[in-house]
Amino acid sequence: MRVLTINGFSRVVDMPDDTPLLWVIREHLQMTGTKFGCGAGLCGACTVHMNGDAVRSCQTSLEEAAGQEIVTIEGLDPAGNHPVQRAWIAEQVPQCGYCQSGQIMQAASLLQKNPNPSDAEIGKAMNGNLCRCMTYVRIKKAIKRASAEMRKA
Amino acid sequence: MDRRRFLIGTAASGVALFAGYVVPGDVTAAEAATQYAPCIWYAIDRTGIVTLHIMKAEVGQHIGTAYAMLIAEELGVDWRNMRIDYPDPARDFGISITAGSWSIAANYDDLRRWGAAGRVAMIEAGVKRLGVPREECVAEHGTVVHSPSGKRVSYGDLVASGAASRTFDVTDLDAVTLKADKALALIGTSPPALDIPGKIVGTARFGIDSIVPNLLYAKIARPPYRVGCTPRAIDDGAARKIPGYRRFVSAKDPTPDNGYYVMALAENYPAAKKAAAALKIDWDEGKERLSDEDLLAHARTLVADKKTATPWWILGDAGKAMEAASSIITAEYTTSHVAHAGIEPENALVLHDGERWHAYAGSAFQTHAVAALADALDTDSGSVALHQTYLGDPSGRRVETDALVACALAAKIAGRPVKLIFDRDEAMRFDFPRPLTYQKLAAALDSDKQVTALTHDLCSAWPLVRALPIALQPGADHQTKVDWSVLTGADSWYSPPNYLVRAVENDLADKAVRSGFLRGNATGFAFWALESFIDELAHATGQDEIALRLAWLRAEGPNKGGPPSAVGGASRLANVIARIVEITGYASRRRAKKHNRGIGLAASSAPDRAQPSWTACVAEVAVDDNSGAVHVEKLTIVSDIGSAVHPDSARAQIESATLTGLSIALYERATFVGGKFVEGNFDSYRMLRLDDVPDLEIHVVAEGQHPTGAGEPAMSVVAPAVGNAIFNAVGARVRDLPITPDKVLAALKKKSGG
Repeated sequence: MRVLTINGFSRVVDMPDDTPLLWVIREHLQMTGTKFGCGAGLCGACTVHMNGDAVRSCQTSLEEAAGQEIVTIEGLDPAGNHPVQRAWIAEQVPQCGYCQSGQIMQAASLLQKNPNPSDAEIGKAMNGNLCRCMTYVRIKKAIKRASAEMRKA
Repeated sequence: MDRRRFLIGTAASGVALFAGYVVPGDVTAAEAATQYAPCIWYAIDRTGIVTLHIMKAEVGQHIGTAYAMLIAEELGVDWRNMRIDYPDPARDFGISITAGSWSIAANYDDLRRWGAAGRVAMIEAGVKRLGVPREECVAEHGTVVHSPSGKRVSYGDLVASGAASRTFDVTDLDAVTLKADKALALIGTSPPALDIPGKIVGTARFGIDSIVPNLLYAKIARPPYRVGCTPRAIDDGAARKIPGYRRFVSAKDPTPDNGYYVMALAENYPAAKKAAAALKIDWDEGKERLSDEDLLAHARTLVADKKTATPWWILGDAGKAMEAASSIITAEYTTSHVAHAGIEPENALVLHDGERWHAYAGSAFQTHAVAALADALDTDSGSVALHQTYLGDPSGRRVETDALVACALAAKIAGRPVKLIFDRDEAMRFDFPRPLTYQKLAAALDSDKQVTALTHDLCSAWPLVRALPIALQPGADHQTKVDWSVLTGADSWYSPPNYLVRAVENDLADKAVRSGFLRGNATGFAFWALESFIDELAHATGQDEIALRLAWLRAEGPNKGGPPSAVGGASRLANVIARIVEITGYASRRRAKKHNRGIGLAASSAPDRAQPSWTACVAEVAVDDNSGAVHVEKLTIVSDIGSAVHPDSARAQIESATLTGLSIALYERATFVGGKFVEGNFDSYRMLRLDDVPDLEIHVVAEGQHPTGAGEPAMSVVAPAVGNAIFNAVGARVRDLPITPDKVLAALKKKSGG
């Protein structure tokens, strides 16, 4: 029995300690915005924030996540109005959309730590997030737009 | 699609009539009292909200948005009042498939007509209500307005009062007047795509997000080889120690896709996965242990032998010209298997509610999926409802039905709702990849080194033989059936003096691998070979590669083109080549010798001759002659798609197709060795990442012709443009995809060795 803090709420989870956080979030708590892609930390679709850091929830056990501050795409902003989300709308980034929760969480974490990333820094931070639609051009544009907006604010 | 079948006007009384054709379950009595549906595709409710049913798969092309725009434009309603949904195909929507970049090209006119029919019905009802002359009324913003008096009535009020009841027959629909091009207000603009908001907050529902009470999770325990394995005995002693494990099931796949499915069922997915790994299965492993090399060797033999070749495209008499040739130039091109690698692994959820079966999944071929489910469940297709979701896969994997079938078999045996999820390893190793291909091109030259004939032999697995044999089509002999999905594009719009394209089925590959349909299909490898060879031919005969292409692009004979989608024919391909040459300054930059840097061009008429998008690409590369590494610095694309319903989505599709084409050109390879695919995850299966993206310059040509597809064509030009650029940079010709550094080095070595 573990207590998870997700998006500001405490949730009691009765699953084995080694259960990947991803499956706790998706199937047990039924918050399906966080996606399963590779199960090996190679695609970034399952990215969530743990204490503000972008982590791969498929590689994070329930035991490791217990007691930490977890934020998922559903909790990034109560109204879906985070500057990164607004930029994603403005640039019309998503196509099939499956990887985009992970892309957005990764980008939000990047900008939190580095409000004005260079192209190289964007590349380094985002290279672990695969997109089969290859929406990379717009992802980059949207990160720059969000960065500009966040620095203005 | 035959619109005549879909013309079912439904009156407010709830009676669906058209020439005696009644659609069961089309509109319920409750629905009918609150809405008016001029046809099966959309309905207007009492508040004036219009809901359009989208029977296409939403795979990121924002097709629902574009379709809604076509309806809104002609129906005369404000964009904010348009809604879309993705209904169960059990209602008779005809054949539902999303493929081939056909969605806009094939339905553009019909959707506008359906919208316009609704406008006619609303105006007629409004005229009656207002008691004014028909010719003094217009429809705008969801309202019928009597222009002289300003009297008006909204569509919603007309629906609420039951005033709208007009049904349309074929003649009526053909008589409907569409808006003039210059009056179009919505088509050609780019409102925000309707599917995007849910995709940035995590509420968009993909198949894998389906959840119902009392679920069992299924994980397939895969056999050691791709095909030919049969379970002899299954021992779940170890699996039974895993908390949450319930049982295993073993069932024969009734489709030709796979042999048997052995599945572990558990109360949660991690437990199902552990249990599947813990099942001790004694497999009869069959005998298939073939590898890529075997398939290639077989292809070479078949093509050399010519006995099984079927003509696919014929101009003149290439055989005679070959015999009379004073010399012949040949080249062989090959391409590897390519995985779909959608980020959403295949999945399905199937349950029985006491009356019917319900399947929840994203399908790109709903008609086929429902039929396969009915077969697997041993019932009729009317007893199966398919609840469509978004698809986390733009590559075409979900035209297949394997996940749905396996899940249905498990649910039926287990007697509980079952959710099946592939892990990444099986998504990669039990994919239906783009087939490995072998292509041989030959040109006959006369004594003046003029080309007198071109032949193109294309040998590949024929996935339609497995997946949908009914869809095989006769070749150019009008007799022998061939798999067009691995041939389209090879029937190019070039007019060499004589031209022969032949299709050869790699029957060994059919048996050894389960290849399938990947975004772009044949255009992804046919143009790789053709456009590489044209450059090679130009160099060998001392001609300019652009001049050679333009000389062969004449809008005459079969390449004249014509309505609706190919007006202008070959001249439009010549036009995009001329434009990209000018935009990039190709001619002068081609001559300017820069150390290890080069520029290359390719052109394509993908996706197919009926609905060609005319696309050209110029690639700029730098080649490291020590490592063989290719750095693609810039890709320029000029694509003539006729016109764009939603220009921003069209551009997004071209961006996507260009980068996917680059990913396949440089990185992607699913390697088949000893009866199995080697790559099991994204560490070994390399795809383009954000840092690999070159400069992109995309020019969309949309000058008022009939719209054609944007989602695939640009994929087909990148690999040959990059290959040609590499040759122009360092003189090394790579003829095998993907273009990896070792192949560049080998080509460099061959060049210096003579």
